[in-house]
Amino acid sequence: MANRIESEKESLQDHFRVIEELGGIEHLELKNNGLRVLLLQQHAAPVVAFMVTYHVGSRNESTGLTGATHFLEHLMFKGTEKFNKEKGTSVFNVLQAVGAQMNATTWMDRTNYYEMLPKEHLGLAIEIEADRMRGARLAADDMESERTVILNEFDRGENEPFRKLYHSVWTTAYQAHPYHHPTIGWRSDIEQVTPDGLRHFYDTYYWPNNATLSVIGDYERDAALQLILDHFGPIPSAGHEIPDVMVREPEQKGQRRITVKKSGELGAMLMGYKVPEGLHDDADALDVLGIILGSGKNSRLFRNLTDKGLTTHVYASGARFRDPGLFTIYAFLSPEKTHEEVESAIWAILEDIKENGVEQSELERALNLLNAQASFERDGPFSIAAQLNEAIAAGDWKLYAQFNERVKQVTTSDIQRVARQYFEEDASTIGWYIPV
Amino acid sequence: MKEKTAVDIVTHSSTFERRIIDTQVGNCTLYMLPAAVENVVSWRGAFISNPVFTNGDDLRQGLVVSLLDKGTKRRDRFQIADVLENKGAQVNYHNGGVGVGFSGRCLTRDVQDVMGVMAEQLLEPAFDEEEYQKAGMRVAASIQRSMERTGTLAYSALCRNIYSTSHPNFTHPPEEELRILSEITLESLHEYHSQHFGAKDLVLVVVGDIDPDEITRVVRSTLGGWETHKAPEAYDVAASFTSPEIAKVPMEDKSSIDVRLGHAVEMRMNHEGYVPLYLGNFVLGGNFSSRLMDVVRDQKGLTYGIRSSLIGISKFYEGHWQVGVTLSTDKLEEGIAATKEVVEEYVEKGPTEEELQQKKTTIIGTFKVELATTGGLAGNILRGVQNGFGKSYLDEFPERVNRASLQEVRESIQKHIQLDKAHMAMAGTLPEDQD
Repeated sequence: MANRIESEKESLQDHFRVIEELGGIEHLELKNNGLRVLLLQQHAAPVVAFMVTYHVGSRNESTGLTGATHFLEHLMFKGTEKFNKEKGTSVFNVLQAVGAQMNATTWMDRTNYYEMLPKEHLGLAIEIEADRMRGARLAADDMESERTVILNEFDRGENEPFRKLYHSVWTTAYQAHPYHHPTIGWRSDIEQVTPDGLRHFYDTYYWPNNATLSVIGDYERDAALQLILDHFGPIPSAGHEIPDVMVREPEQKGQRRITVKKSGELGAMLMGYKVPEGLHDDADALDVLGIILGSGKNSRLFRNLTDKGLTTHVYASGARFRDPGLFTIYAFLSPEKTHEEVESAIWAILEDIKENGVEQSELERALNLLNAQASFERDGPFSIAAQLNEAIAAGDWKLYAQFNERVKQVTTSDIQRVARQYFEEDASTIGWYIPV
Repeated sequence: MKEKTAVDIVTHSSTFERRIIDTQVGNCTLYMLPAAVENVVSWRGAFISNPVFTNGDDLRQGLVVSLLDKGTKRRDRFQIADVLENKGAQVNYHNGGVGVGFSGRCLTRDVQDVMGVMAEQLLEPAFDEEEYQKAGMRVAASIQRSMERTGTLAYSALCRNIYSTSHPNFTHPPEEELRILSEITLESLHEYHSQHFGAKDLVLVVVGDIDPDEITRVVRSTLGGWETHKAPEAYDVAASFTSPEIAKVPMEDKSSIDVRLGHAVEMRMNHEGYVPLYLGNFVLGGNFSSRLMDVVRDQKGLTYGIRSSLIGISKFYEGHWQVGVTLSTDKLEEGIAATKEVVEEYVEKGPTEEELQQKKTTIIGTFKVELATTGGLAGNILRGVQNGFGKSYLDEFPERVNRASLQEVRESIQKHIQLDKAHMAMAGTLPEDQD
């Protein structure tokens, strides 16, 4: 028995290269095809989260093919030769039958497929994800029926004024970079994309060396690696270079404004500021600044806007995108308050921070909040998977593992410096939703 | 003594019923479950308030709930926020129909302080005049924003056709809600709080990295002295079939229409027939691999989302069954017809044995997965206790699901799902209103 285990271990070592370990997460690579694997064991409950993150999002789309990543995500559920509806083995049927919570999401920098399921079924999730990595049928008739599904999803989004405002601000802020277009795509592209177009997209990006697996929860390490080896091992790496996005957004030199008019009741506002990519050192200070501005009743925005009756809700959020993104401030106007007065109040708060900085007590409050959050995030594998997914998308999973240590280094002077550097009128894009 | 490991606690061979510790602390029934997570404690709780729905108490209760975190008689809202935010803790309240729910999460070391704040907020809210004005404005704004949402308006129109005005699930039109809201005074909120807030049927479930003796002591010192209130039950508990009607809510600029199709279900959650009906509905429209999703979305491509559900059913009152579907304006007629066709065929023939077995596994598996977090555990224990199943709910629910036979499920859907008695409500830019 001991010999057999020993030989299995040796065999796994032959196939996987251990790259590093940080914060309890082990990072390995499947040697033959470049598939990256992240393992985090957590035995609090007998469940496991399995996730494949493809390093492709709407950022990788070009004109005419907008929405392709999202369309493909839908078609990935339509089946392969092994798992399909005709055989009664569709992905949903098989996985939901064992109690899996599962879905997929597409965003600007990534696409992820995930299953959270009782631990004894981990092998099934691994098998299905490996099978559809290269085996998706992408049939023309499936595509046609899914096209109208996506168009209804598009229409549902169009119903929501704030979503419309969100897209409009990004579209206005970005002129050259693909962050310009919504992840769901433009309606005419959804209507016209062809099976060949999607097949080309799939064949370009869906390969082991463009994906990261995350396994989080209650499982046995070597058994999980063996399953990964059995199912993903036979898939070759792409026979081509995965194309990188070379477009860089030109520097914004002047404020941009956009108005969305749509039937509705109360106004809203979104203010976006160009900030560096998610792995940039300044992103830490911007994250902390987001909390000081917008989290809790002691935040600057709550005290000066919501508590004074100007807004009903207000939020601020740093951005951790692969390429330079937008720091955003969202404000939902109270009845009878004007966009002008709300915008002016927000600018006054930002100017005050630029001029006078923030209090040490505000910084400490933000760090305490982040510290508690780190413990809460360990409560169940799914929340960890979600955080890890965004770190992978930003370009380095270690962003998740190092996050708390990184933000602890932030000082009040860092916060004042980044506020001065990035909350520039000329680099801002202001969107107003005006109900009509 | 051997120290317990995470695996010992969670994958314990012992039942949840044996592991959950229950005790009475004053008027509070306290349930505690130590779980293998480090430093985190979550809790869920609720008490019965017995609002009088016909005189606007639902909105009054909503306003009181929104004022709970806006200061107490001892500390203003910012002093309280200081305590919570500096600990990264959260306390939330929600207006739960016949009662009020609350939840919290904090680090183990902070339980005393955070529960102390929660008790102060529940028992001694400040009801400051200025905060009352702001809360009224925020509630009004949220009602106004709901007028932009097709789903909310279709659901509310359906509920008006199903329920009497004194039923907890009845929903006023938003314009009427705004009118009622404008007539609520600060004095009436004081009065509502004194007459309806109290430890009546107060249940608190605490799960996480806890020492049960310590939690009992904390609860005794915070909620232990809370008196019950005397407000009587004053709502309609029954939901009955009424003659079917179609409600249309025309809206501009909404190219995806929300449709709701449904009728009353004359059953409460603790009825023995509830699980067979729950299963029967789940096969029809409970998840991505249900009949409705399979045909209306996957095969016909008519919708992004369709689901059938049992709604607003509890131990206290009956509720309804509904199908909810979103349809682009040009697919409205076809989508409704396809939906009805699936429901009719399903009710007539029922699920297959294979379908039923598959969904049983799904429901039991999903239930297990929900128990992966301290919040999920606390929420499910509370649900079981509130609906009359006691602390054995987590153990018994999977068994009850497994016990339901194909025959019981078929009979249940034939009795309780009757398409010819279904009301329909739709909200959005309807084909007849398009330019």
